[in-house]
Amino acid sequence: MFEYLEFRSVDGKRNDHDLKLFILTTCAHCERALAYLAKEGVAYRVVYGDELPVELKRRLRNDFVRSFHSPVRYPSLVIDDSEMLAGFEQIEWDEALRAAGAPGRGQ
Amino acid sequence: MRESHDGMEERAFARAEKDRADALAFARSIAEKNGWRLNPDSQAVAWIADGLARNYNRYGYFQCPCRDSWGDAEHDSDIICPCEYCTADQADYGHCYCGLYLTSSFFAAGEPVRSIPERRAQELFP
Repeated sequence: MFEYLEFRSVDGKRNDHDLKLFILTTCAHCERALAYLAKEGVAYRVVYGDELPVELKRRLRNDFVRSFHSPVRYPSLVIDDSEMLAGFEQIEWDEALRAAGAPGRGQ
Repeated sequence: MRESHDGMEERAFARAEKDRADALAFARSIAEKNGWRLNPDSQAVAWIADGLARNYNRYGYFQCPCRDSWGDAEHDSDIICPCEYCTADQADYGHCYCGLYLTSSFFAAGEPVRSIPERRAQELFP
């Protein structure tokens, strides 16, 4: 999913799952999400939506709607191409990442 | 550009770059004018101000830093800070979408600013 985008990779000790982070270069909620992922030592790939050309923004938006029945918001975290978190709320991200690490999750 | 003797007039017609301090001054003036309070989280406000300044410098206006942009004022007009959704979001959640402008009552209650649902119609985004 999203193979047409160039993601930047961020290393981390927790790398059991494919995490794709969608953020803006200007967004405070996105900064909080970045700080959280750094603190948690999570590996992920990131793309900045505001740096994309309009045609890719459109394609991204359509893919989000088709795959997650929701338009892209910033920040958005896609877990194993199957689950999407929109906006940053630490409790929600804690639960999703903890559940993603549980046996049988995402299979 | 007008002709000038020393280039000063030409430079005066160029849009001046904004920085964090400029964006903060702008935000404070908007808050004061509307009876709002700024987010007491200084880090969050710094991030938002940096985003506002960056958007001003690349688009020419204080585009909401938490939303994607068309890069032109006509298509972005409703999300130029303060955005058209601000008061509705404040009525429902106590603060605007990016968490910059709080109502006085929300500020006084000391509740945390959170990510809130996007009220803007998705077809208005790029």
